[in-house]
Amino acid sequence: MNGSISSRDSIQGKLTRIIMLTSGTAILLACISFITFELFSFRRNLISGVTALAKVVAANSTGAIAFENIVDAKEVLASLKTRPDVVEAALYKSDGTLFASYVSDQGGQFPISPGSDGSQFVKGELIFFEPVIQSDTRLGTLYIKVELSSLYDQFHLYGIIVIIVLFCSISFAFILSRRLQAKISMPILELARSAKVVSDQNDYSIRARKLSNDELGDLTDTFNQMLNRIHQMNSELERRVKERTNQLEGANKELARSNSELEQFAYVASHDLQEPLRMMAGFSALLADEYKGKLSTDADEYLTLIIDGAKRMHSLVNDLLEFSRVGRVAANFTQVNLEKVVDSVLSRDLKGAIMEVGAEVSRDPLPVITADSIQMTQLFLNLIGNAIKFHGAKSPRIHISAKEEDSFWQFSVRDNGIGIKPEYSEKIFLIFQRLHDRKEYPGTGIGLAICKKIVEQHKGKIWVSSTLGEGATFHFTIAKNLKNEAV
Amino acid sequence: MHRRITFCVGFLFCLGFLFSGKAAPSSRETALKAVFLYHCTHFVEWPTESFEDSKSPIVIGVLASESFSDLVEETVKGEQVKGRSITVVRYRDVEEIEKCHILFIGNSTEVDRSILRSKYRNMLTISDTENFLSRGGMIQLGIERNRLQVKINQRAAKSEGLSISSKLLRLSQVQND
Repeated sequence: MNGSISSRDSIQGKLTRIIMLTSGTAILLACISFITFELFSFRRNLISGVTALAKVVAANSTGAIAFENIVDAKEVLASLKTRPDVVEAALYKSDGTLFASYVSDQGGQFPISPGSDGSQFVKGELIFFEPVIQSDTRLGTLYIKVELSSLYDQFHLYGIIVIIVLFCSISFAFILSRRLQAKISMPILELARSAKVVSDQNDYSIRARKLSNDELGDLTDTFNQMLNRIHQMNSELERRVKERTNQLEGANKELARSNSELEQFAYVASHDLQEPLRMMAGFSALLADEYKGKLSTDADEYLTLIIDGAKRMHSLVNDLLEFSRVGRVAANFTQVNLEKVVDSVLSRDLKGAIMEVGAEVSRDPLPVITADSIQMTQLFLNLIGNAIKFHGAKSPRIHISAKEEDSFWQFSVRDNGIGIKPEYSEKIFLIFQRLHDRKEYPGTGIGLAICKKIVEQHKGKIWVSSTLGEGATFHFTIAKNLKNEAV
Repeated sequence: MHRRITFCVGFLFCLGFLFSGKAAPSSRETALKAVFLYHCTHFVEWPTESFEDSKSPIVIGVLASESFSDLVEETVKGEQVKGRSITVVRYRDVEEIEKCHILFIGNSTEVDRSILRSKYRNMLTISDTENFLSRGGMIQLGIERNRLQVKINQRAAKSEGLSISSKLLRLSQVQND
């Protein structure tokens, strides 16, 4: 459907034009009808008037023609002088010859012989041929010519009057219409104005003024009712939003407090736990050295177990400490050369593990990025360490790759180990979640949780894609526009 | 001798012409009068009792030369006046006069008042005789400057029940004595 709207045309203009057009057309039609009627009746009256005159003159001239009295004929014709619009008159004998004539100032040319009886309009003049009859005998013909221009002057006058009347009526109609159209347009404009104000200022407390008591008045009322409802709903919504925000703020504060308490707790606990653990581990080692073989085999065994337990606890506490540190200490973003980081991790921290299982680790070229260098080290250490640890029957083949996107870097650590069941692919990132028995694969269950926290500190995401039995690939992203928070 | 005779005969002829009364009227004057007689029928009203019925003809009695009578007959032939035809009757003398609507008395005839007081009523008397009106006639025709002059005694006509149209009266000299 063609819904184009024509260029802007005000309601007032439209209304005025409608009224003007209707009244103008009505007046024009009336004037035209009047003039047309006048024209017709004028012609009719003229013909009947001159016909009557012609009949009288013809009747009077019978004697003159019959007795061939030219003087009398001229006298009879001269009576036509009373009508100044008669320019010529003539009497013809029954044989068609011109007998007598009358001429006013403007006439001159007489027909040579009379034409057919009756009246005719010829070139703006009216011509009569009237038979001259006495006692049923035709004696001759009377010719009269009437010029019409002087009478058309009357029509000029009519025309001028009509134009003046038209002009006055239309002007009057124009003035009236401008006044009266306000009755319709004012309420509409007021409504439009109010709507605009409400829309521009987003103020729903404004109400439109009701200016008329008709359908437009009803519209105004409905409009105001709608505004009322909107206003109410708005207020209600605002109230609820405020309430909810308050609730959320409260809950948030609560959570933040609880979080920091927990972290504090974890840190303190781990930190304070370290000391006794060190003592336990240290002294049990000393005991083992001094009294190895000197006590019973049971005693040796017990000592080994104590040392084992202490070591495990140590590592657990370390990890906890690490976990809490990542959350507690603000990240320090610098330019970090990831190649150096990975190479360092491989050659130092994981050197032993790599040699032990015969793992092969390859990597793509890695970029220099803005990140926390300590945390990056920890991250790659955990991921590559896991890749080495969770190998299956084959010897581990591990590959590290990097991909650049618009707003982040995406890295992957791929292995050919035992893989992960898809239903656990999210669970593994939770703290203390272990999928395997401690005897199969050692570990505290905190490693991946630490990785997740580190990645989140770098405004990224971490996830795994894996097929059970065919290895796993861990992906994580590091955002590009990291900035240190102002201290 | 022959030449003398011819001369005498010619002379006598001329004398004969000289003494044969007035000069013969020109044909134009005669025609004018004949036409007048015809047109008269249009401009005069006879009382209804002068006609037998609505179809009876108007009778023009001509007391004049035969040639004139023929001329009149020729003029009115085929014409109608208000549905009536016109007949022309020639009288050779007074005794022959019968009922007619118009009686034309040629000027060669002796006019007597007695003619005019004929036994027939409603008769329009016309003559080209001089002093016709003073002798009791109704319409007297004369020629002046090649035009027909008409004198009418309207009162005389009216006393015979005849009404003459004003259109004719207008063109004539009215003498009502």
